[in-house]
Amino acid sequence: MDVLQGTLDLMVLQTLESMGSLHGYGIARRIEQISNDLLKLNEGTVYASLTRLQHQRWISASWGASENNRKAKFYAITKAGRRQLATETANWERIAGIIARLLRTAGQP
Amino acid sequence: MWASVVSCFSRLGFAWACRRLDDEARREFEVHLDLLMDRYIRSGMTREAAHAAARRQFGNVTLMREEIYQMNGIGWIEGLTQDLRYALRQLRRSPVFTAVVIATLALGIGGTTAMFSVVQAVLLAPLPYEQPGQLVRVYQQEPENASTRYYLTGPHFTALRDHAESFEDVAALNTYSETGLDLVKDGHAQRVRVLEVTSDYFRTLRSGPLRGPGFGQHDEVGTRRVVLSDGLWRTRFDSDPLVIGATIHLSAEPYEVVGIAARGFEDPIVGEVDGWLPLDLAGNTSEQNYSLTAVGRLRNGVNVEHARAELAALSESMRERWPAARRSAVVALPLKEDLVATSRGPLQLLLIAVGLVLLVACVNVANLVLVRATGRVHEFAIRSALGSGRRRLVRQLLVESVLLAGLGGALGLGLAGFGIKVLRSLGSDGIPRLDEVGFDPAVLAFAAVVTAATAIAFGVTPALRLARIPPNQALRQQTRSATGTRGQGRLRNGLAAAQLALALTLLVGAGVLLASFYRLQQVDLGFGSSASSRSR
Repeated sequence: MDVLQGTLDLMVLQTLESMGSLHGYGIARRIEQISNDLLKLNEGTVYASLTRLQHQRWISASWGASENNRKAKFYAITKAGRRQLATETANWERIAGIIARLLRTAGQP
Repeated sequence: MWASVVSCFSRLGFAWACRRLDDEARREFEVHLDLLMDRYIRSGMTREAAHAAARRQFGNVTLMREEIYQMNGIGWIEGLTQDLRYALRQLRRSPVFTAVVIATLALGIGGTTAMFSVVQAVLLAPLPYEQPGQLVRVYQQEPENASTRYYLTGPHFTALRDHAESFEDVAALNTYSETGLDLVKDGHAQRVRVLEVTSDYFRTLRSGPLRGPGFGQHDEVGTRRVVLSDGLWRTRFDSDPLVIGATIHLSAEPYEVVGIAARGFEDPIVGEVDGWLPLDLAGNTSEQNYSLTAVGRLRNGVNVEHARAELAALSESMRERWPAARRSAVVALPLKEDLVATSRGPLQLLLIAVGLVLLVACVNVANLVLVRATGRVHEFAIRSALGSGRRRLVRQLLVESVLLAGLGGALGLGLAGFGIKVLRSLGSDGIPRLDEVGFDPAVLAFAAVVTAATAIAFGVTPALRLARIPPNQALRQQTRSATGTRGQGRLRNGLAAAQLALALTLLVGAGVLLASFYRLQQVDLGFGSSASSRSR
């Protein structure tokens, strides 16, 4: 299954909100786990998403140590990021609801 | 709004750190790949297989790095300086083309700017008096015909001065007095232009400090007194302060000099006045002698509408007092509007005319640019084949256009300075306020806008046209044909047609302009000369 354009940012933001500070690898693992391996993404695209989110100041980055004890960048959600997440979530749910209703009625005359 | 500002600044920060961020991304990717590899090795893969699998799962590392680098950088600034350098090289390589284009644009932009500076000074800028918005011109009119304008009579003016509360001061000048008198001094005579004015004249206009006592209301019986202009005092009286109180002779009559006007003070209506005499208001008693030009200064906080309402009420009582006066209504108009009313039309026409010249220049230059672009089809095809995007190519051409227009504009500003001098010497009699013409921020801003608009006007079409030719087609035509593709031929024909149309419009416009000027200068003889017969 491919990732819809623009939804990756939302997924990354939500992951950071629920898991706290993570590095890129950790985010990729978490998304893989949540989707039960159904979602196959080029993990490099996570970094493009992280760059976009940093530009908007919705996440911040700091250096820390990774599991294999190497220097890695850890990302955390900011206050502005939480606000954005709330808006985006509400938005997404509304659209999902509309699509779901539309698809349910599609077969009926 | 705020979010986009924050994002913009934040982006600047990232652009600053672009190189460092790229290095960090490389390190991050390495760690990520290692962690993936570790996982695959733990699940039993060989080192090589794990490495390949990790790479597959991550995607193209180089592409990703490049994408992030570009996201962080502000690519267009780097590109722009590159374009600018390239454009300069291009222009240096064809000096004749460059010179012709710059000269053409300079003429167009210079003419438009010079003309605009006249429009700005005459029509747009405020009058050169203190708080000019308070100054109004007062007319009488027929009550049933609001479009009529007549001068004031002596009694009406006096009533106005005594009773109208809206005015701080109100002054009158004798409309027909500027014919002049002969100043005889040291044996030779000079015709001087004098104006008969009431005593409040200098106060109303806030003319600046007057040397000497000036007139009082007691002088308004036509006493033989005079206030000299600063210019006349300097040229004919050698700036001698002792002339105040002395007696001079004007047309063989003795006049006592009671003042010298402030330097640079000019009458708003009559240009180049040499002296002011007291008006004989006491002798001007007929309520049907419409002979006075009246100018008033509104009190602080009183607007023209308010003054008009008061004058309308005042008109009622005047009508009862002088029932014989047919033009009994008194109205006020903003002085500036009144002054420029007659020159507005011709000036606007002239501005349109030079605007058309600029358009012709643009079309000419567009044609030149297009012809040159035809010779560069090959170059652009190669650049596009090497991966230049269409937007990048268009931008390159636009940068060249802006550079050309900028140079043309700079030269045009110089030409405009010269043109302003010529205009000032040409039209000083016909157009009020022409001596105030010059460069000011508004004129410079106008020149800048015109230059930018010019660049867009002559640059966009050829650029789009050139970028639209498919590279394979251009490359297949190994011989560079002088005529270009059929589409370009059509565009060139279109440009030529537009040029002809514009030139014709210009010609007709110039004709109309001349005709209207001719009509403006024709004096109404007061009788139909065409119906008179001629006999031998």
